[in-house]
Amino acid sequence: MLPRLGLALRLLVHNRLRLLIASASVAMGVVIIFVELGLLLGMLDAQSLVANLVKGDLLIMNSARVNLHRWDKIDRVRLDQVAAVPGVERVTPVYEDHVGLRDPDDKRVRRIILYAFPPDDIPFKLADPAAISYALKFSHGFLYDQLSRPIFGKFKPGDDIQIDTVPLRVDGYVRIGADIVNDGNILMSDGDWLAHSPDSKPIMGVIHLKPGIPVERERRAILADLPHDVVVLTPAETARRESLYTLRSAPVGLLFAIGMLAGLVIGTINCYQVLYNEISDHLPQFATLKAMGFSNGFLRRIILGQSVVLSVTGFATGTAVAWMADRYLAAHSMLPIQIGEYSGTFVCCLTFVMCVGAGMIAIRRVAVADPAALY
Amino acid sequence: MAKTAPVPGRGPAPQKPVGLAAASGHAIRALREWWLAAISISGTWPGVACLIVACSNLLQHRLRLLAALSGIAVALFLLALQISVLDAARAKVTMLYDDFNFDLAAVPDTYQFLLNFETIDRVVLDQARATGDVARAFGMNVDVVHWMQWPSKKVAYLFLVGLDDPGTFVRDPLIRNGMNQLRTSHSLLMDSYSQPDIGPLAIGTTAKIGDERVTIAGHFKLGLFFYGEGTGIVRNTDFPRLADRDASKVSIGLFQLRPGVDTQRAKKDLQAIVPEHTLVFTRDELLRQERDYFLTVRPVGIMIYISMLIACLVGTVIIVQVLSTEVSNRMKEYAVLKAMGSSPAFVYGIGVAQSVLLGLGGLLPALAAGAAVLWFIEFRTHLETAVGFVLLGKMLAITLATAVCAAATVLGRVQRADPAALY
Repeated sequence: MLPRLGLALRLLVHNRLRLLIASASVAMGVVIIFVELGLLLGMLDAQSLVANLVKGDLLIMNSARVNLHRWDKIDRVRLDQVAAVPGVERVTPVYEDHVGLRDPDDKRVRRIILYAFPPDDIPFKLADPAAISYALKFSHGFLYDQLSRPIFGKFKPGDDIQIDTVPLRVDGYVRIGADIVNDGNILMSDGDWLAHSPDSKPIMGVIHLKPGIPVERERRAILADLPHDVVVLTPAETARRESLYTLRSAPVGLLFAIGMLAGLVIGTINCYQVLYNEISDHLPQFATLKAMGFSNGFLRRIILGQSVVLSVTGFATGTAVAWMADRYLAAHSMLPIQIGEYSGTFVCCLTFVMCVGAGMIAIRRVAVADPAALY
Repeated sequence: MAKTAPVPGRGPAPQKPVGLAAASGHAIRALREWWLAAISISGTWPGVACLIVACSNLLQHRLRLLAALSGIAVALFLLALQISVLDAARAKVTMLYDDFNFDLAAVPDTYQFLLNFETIDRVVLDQARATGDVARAFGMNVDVVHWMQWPSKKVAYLFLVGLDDPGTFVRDPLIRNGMNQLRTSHSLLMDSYSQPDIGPLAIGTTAKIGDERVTIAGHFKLGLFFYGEGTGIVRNTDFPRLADRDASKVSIGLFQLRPGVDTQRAKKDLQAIVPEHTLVFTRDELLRQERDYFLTVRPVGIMIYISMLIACLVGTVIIVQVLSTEVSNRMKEYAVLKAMGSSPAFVYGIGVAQSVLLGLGGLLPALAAGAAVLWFIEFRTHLETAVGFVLLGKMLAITLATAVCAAATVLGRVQRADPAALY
């Protein structure tokens, strides 16, 4: 039963103000789904941000570090052991700790996450790595993450800022991002960090394999030589594990899932209301069509056509509003909340299902159109 | 053939409905009698008449009414979830502080929220007593330590709290009485709401904190899942050993003031004498800072606020939509009412009653579904999300406000109902 799109569109366009209101009603469901999905995905992306940023083939971490926000570190010797495996090209140590950054204005100290690594071997996918590498080579300096929450104060390159009571120079900016647990990041060379904290152990090692070496085979080779106090995962596996941990441990996943479902139901109901009113208002016209010999099937195809048109206009309107809402949310939460390709396609399909579903329910109304009632 | 009336005592007795059928028959009869009674008094009380007309209007198209109620219910359900989780989170982030009686607190200047790894010197507690404003001082330590289940050797993070002798500081009777059970230097109280990764929590169960073997001597209920998989309380005499900390330091100093001492003055006096890098807060300031950090700086609060706003908007729009359609469809009827001399208040009353009925009709299923989901969230997370009178009150107020706003938006159009346009 193919919908009659042409006639459906003309019926809807006949009253443009009403079409606008109808599209806004459907868009409301679309906005809710987009926002709730955006919050959920933004939270999961933020929690697994470091795993997604890693530039390497494998990660080695302490086996007790079941999520990326735990502080279980590994012995430096483990990285040397991995580096000795024949298929491994090099292993980059990554140090992580929380340090106190003193706001130059209000003098309050706030906790920020520090990552330290060799300046010549940046383990993260960051914009302009050459400039970062160059900046990190100057001792007693650090790079500040511009996407940190705005609680740390304002400072510019060249300023001396106290980190754990030690004055260090701001050498530039990077863009990484905060998450649910951590409010911001700074980057430092491993030399500077070890000078400040000589007993530090790496939080993880980024393993780079020699070209052409199969990752799975090499992982088995690495694990065969190491005790069970470490795990070796690909960055993608680490990100997936982090997302699953977040969903399992925090109730917000359930909240956002319920929110999305609510958006779907609300969108369906709104679309049904719109179509019901549309049919009610055009009942005499539908009855006339019936009197002229058009079948109920023909009328139903018009309603389906209207639901398809509403799904398109509702999705377009909803996407525009959700895009603005996501920008606001991202700016205030400092989380990567945005409409991505997959989430866009997913919500587009849901909108279509939602509107056609509402059309199928509203279709029953058109069957009551009675030519005899016209007079 | 003429029918004859049944004569009592003759012929087969009419079958009496039994069970559910009888009950529903009674219920329908009772409703009908109530409805007739309502109609009979509606002439005296216009409010009742409004309600009756509103009910009849809504019930005319039942499928549409069902759809409208479902939409409103879903929006209110979403709102109830968000409000409850936000309230529970607000209470949870200050839950440990709520268990203590104190007027002032001294913390290191690195303090952002309860789990702070920096410390202040214990001498601050004595300095505070010396001001003359402070009656009693109390030291509290916090840290996160490795908890190893024994004998499985599975490791989890334990949020370890060290307390001085409870005295008059500890409000929670479970903690106050539990502290008396800490008879050895290797015993601790465990949070019954700890996550399963912590392992068995029965009294007498042993585990390891670092290299120290400890035994569970009692329980309390907190559920601070955002600091670690579980929470344990020990005496401050044991805390430095278990957390590898300096015994001359504490994480937070809590103070009770002498009766009649002004809190702001005492704060100023104390701030003047404490060492550099030490901050003094009143109880309210400390709790507000704690809530602000978790609900304003951290994104969860922002996320929930936005979801609440959306749910409110959706609920309002659905009611506006339904009412708007109702008003459009019934303009002739409103015109007839006007022609019959009904007052504007009566005509508007019908609209407001319809709006309120829609709101309340959506609220009931929303609360029923919300109660089930919130119970599940409480069961899973120990956030106190279950439906209570506070949530009921808030939801009722929001629903009524939404309904009245929606009615106010739409009912202006009723003015346009013109008896002259009927013909």
